[in-house]
Amino acid sequence: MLLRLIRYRSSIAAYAAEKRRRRRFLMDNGGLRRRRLKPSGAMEMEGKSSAKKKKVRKTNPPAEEAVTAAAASLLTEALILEILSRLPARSVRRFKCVSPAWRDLIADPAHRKKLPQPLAGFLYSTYQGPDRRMYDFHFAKVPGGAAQPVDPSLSFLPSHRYWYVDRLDSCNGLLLSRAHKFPSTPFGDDDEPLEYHYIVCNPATGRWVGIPALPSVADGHRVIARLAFDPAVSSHFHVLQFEDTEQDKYITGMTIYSSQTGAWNYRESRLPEKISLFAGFTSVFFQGMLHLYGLLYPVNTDFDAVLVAVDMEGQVWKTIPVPSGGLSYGMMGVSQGCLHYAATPLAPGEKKKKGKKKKHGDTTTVWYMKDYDSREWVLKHSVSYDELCSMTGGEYRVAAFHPDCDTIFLDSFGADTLASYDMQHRKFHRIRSLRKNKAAIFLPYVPLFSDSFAGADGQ
Amino acid sequence: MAATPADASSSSSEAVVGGEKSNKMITLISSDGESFEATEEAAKMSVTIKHMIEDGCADDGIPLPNVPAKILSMVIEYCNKHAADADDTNKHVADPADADEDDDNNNNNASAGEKEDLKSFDASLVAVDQATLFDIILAANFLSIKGLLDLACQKVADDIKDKSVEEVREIFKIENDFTKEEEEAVRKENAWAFNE
Repeated sequence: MLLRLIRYRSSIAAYAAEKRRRRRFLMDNGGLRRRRLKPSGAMEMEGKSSAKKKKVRKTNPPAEEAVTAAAASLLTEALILEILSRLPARSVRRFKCVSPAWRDLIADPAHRKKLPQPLAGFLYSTYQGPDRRMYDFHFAKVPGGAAQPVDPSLSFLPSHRYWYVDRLDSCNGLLLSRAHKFPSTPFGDDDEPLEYHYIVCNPATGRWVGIPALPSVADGHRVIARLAFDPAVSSHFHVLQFEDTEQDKYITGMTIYSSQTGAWNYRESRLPEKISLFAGFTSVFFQGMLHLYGLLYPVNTDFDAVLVAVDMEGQVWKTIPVPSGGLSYGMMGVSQGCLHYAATPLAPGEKKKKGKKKKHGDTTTVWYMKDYDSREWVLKHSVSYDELCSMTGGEYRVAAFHPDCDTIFLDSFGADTLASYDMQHRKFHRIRSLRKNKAAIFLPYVPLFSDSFAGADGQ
Repeated sequence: MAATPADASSSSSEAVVGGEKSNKMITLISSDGESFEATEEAAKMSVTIKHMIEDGCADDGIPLPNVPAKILSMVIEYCNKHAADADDTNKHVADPADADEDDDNNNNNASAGEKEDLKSFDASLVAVDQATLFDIILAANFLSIKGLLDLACQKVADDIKDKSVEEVREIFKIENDFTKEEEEAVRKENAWAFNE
């Protein structure tokens, strides 16, 4: 009891001392400038360094100012971090410019766990050969991302165990992969079905989890697996494996894995219509529902695209019509807390052949859902094919949305370039060259440094 | 000592009452010397104060030299409100055997209404000027009241979310001690985060 009392009193004393030191740190700008000019390299902007600074008093500000100044100056780094951790990524990045102390606080690797991270880049694949290890994997960094590049080889996975690991989906910092075991013959008999199971991993921390294998898919069935994970809601994730038939080609059901129960459960499709899913498209996990891009079956010349949304219990299945963009290439994503959809028209030349005149015939349009429950798309931006072509010097399609600002990423048709388009300022910016023979899918990657990722390590 | 029937009954009733709140009042003394009374249950929402009470240091009142009266009264208001809510929740859960589906629904409706009430209470508590908000944060931090700290930090975050760098400096009273080159470098690196 006495010990506690002593600790309490000494913590008050420490608090008061901290108060005095903090006031000096933040109001003693004269002292700080003198430090900066020192050639000795003692440039620490962190207040921790030394308390031996001369007190340089400013002229007394008005009473109210003094009160705010006093309170603000007492906020410790830990408290500022508490505040910053509740901001969206964009605000946190912007506030790096507030002061060197804030910049260093935000950039400090030790704080990555608490602070929302910016988009680091995209994982993409290139088709590399006819053998069964069809794809090679790469990472395209984007400006504004964290300094650390992502290693697309996922070298933390035990390479002796897996012959081929392909990347299927990304979701809030986690990656879903299919890990194939070694075939019995060195090059793999094409007819021999390869054993595989899914793996969910966190490339930022190297932590990974193997998921119990499902019984092999019946002949003629096709599966598409996607990942659902939102650390803000729960540290548990779900893997959804959608099934359709080779013959019918529309979704019949899905098997869903929960990291909480460790079990797979089959759920029959409750979609009102018959929908064919596109395998080559990313999915979006939003508002507790996994969204996928599909076409109404049977597929007609109008290519009626639709978004399919399903909840984690497999009980709620919804279809969300997409804004009519005519014959176009669609892309969905989440940006700044809203579901977005972009439609890139197919080349006008093709259109003329069809002889159809659609409303947004040759315009790339970007839409968003202000209110998810209303299911109403609001037009955010449109740019004509000609204008975009004149900026880009070639043909591009919308590949992804930036999660934190009004920028979309463009992928060139055959020119192997990744670019960004700032919708607010109508500015195009070429980012980097991509490798040849790339597949269409770009998996956005926002690193997750926190430990919130359920499941045992490696299996 | 032989227990008299009266003693026996009082000790047994104490055993029953043990899980519920005691009516003991705790005195908290602000930095400017004002005394405030709070129920022990409310005061224990502060982990710091809880330890002091458990260690028996609270008998003469607890001095809080870094929490001014204005802030302390708000903190106590928060603790009173949230302690009562926690208590109600416990009361609902107390007899699961009695709860049938109807009760459950009623409880859910009641607690949904209470949740709304709590939300609007919280919102109005932190609808104050920046200086007071910072003081609340400092007090909640010192007193280890997680709920209040989360609430106040979230409010500040919501307030500054869309503000410019200059405005944030103004709010936190931070001098811009970047060199021109440093500032340009950071701005360039994070150009996408700006609206201009």
